[in-house]
Amino acid sequence: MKIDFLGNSHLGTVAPTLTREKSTHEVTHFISRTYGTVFPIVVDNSGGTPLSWITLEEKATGGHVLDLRQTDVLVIMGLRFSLVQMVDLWRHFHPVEAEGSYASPALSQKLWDAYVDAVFDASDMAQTLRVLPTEHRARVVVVPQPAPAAWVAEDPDPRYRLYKRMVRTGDWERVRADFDRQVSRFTARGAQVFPQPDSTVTGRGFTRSDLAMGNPQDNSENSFYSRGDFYHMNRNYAKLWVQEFYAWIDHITEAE
Amino acid sequence: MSDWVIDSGAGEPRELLQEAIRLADSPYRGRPRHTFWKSAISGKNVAALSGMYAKKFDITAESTVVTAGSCFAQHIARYLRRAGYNVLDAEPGPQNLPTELLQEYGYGVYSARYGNIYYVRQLLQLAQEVLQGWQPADAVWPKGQRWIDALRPAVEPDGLAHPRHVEQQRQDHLKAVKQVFTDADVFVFTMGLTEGWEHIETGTVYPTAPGTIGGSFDPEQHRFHNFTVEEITADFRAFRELVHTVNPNVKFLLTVSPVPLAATATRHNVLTATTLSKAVLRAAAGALEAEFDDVDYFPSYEIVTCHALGNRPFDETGRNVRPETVATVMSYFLAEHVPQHAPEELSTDRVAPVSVTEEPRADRQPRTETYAAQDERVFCEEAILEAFSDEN
Repeated sequence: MKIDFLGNSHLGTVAPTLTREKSTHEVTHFISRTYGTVFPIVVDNSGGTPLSWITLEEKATGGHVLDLRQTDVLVIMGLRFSLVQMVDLWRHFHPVEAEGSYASPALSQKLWDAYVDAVFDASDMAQTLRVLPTEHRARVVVVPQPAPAAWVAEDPDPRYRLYKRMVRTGDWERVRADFDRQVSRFTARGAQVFPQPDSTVTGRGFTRSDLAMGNPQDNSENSFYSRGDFYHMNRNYAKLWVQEFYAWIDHITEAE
Repeated sequence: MSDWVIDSGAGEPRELLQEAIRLADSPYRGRPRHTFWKSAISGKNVAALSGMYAKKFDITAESTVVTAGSCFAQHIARYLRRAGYNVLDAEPGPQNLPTELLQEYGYGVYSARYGNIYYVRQLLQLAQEVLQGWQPADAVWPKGQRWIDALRPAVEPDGLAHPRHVEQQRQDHLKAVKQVFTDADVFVFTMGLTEGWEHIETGTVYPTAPGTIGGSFDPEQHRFHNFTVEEITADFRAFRELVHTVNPNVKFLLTVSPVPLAATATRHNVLTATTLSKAVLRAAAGALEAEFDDVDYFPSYEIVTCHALGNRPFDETGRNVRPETVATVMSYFLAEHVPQHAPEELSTDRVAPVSVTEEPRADRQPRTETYAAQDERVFCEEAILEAFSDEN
């Protein structure tokens, strides 16, 4: 099976493991880099479409063309489709029906939903899905960015106060429900969503702390923790994720 | 002078009368042309009236302009934004939502999400609430199974699920209004109505009668009140004084909405009641303009309602001001307060209004629009009163 992976830094953290564990699959990675200079181009029978919101390195190993006529599965990973993005929205507005009190202005539920939809519709993930040709042989799989590390809701650092408050008040469940709604919207548009494997998440839906690059025990200068990184995951995560992903994609393709 | 029609009394020869006028030492002699009906108004197109407005103070590109008032004020806010003025939006909605949706929820209509402020007592009470901790009575009304803010009943069209949600949004709102009061360089306020509804025990006034959009009318608790010139001027003086405690340099620009009442709660015909209301508001605005150097009056009411040539100000309802009329009104404003970029509608096939100060200044810089001002929709809960007519 030929699988093309398109994504941002979250693909970067699992790409080596995806290649190493690929078995009989043929995999190609298209990893967006902030310093990249070349737009990837999606090609089908009707021509090519540049993805101008994604920039690849000029000398990217996999090239710059995602040919939907040649690939079996196109996996789109991350691209700011995440619970972290959902939480960030609360810094600007929050739903008036939230349990906790927040510094941002409160929106009625209807306007909040419209706001969330609009933000996610403008995400790199949604833009990418929108421009994909509707007629092609490739299966399209969406992979959200990993949930934030569990320690973010317990850490005393004031930067993470919002997470702590959300968990304490129960609003975290509202965040998750809102995110699930966005997942459903992508599904309704024909994409399949590969959810974060259960083996990597806690009961509250955070990523297990031991799977995060950032470690509160390591507050040395330039450590992931010191830089406030609670969303990039480590090799152990990659290993678990890759195993689950290949098992899942093999299963659904065999089932058909 | 030959075409003057003069009642010359008991058959006095016309030439003698004209000679008498020539020699008379009248205080009207030498007055500017715009002070005489014949030269300023007679035979003039509505877009070319002479000296309709002479600004009292500048509104510069750097001035922070805030807007509030009745429905007609929405046009003013929209035009000022389009013209590149720095119109404050202290309570913006999510920028990624369509303008129309945001405006349905009261965002971007005025400088804060206060909805229509029809009379000065409302404005005063808002300032008292923000700056003095005054608390309105009966401020959350039921609307079906949901709840609305009685003091801005249209900003949540579907209401909210719980009274505490209304109170929470009101606290957000009051923070934004405080910024409006403290940051404004020019406060543009359009007076709309004199007929109001108040809570008998506390004097809290509401923009709509209880029972119209939400709540329910209880004659033991609520009563009708038709504000007088004296009350309006006293309220505005108190408002001005209060805002000056946090912003001593703010200036005020008053206008009177030309939009007739949708309904009157008096025993009079609605047209008669409209005339009284507008006369009272105009008299109050005039008195305030005359009393204070930092209060100006812009005659939108007069421009809309005058009988100058070509003036067909309202559509068939007799209430809705036509877009071209609004454009004419604002062309007079913008001729005095010259923007960097005039609204597109004003750029062609329109007679330029005659300004008292002739030289436009070119030192203005355009400001970024927060809200795309593309439609002419006006959000006016007062119009809902029409639904209570027996004809419906």
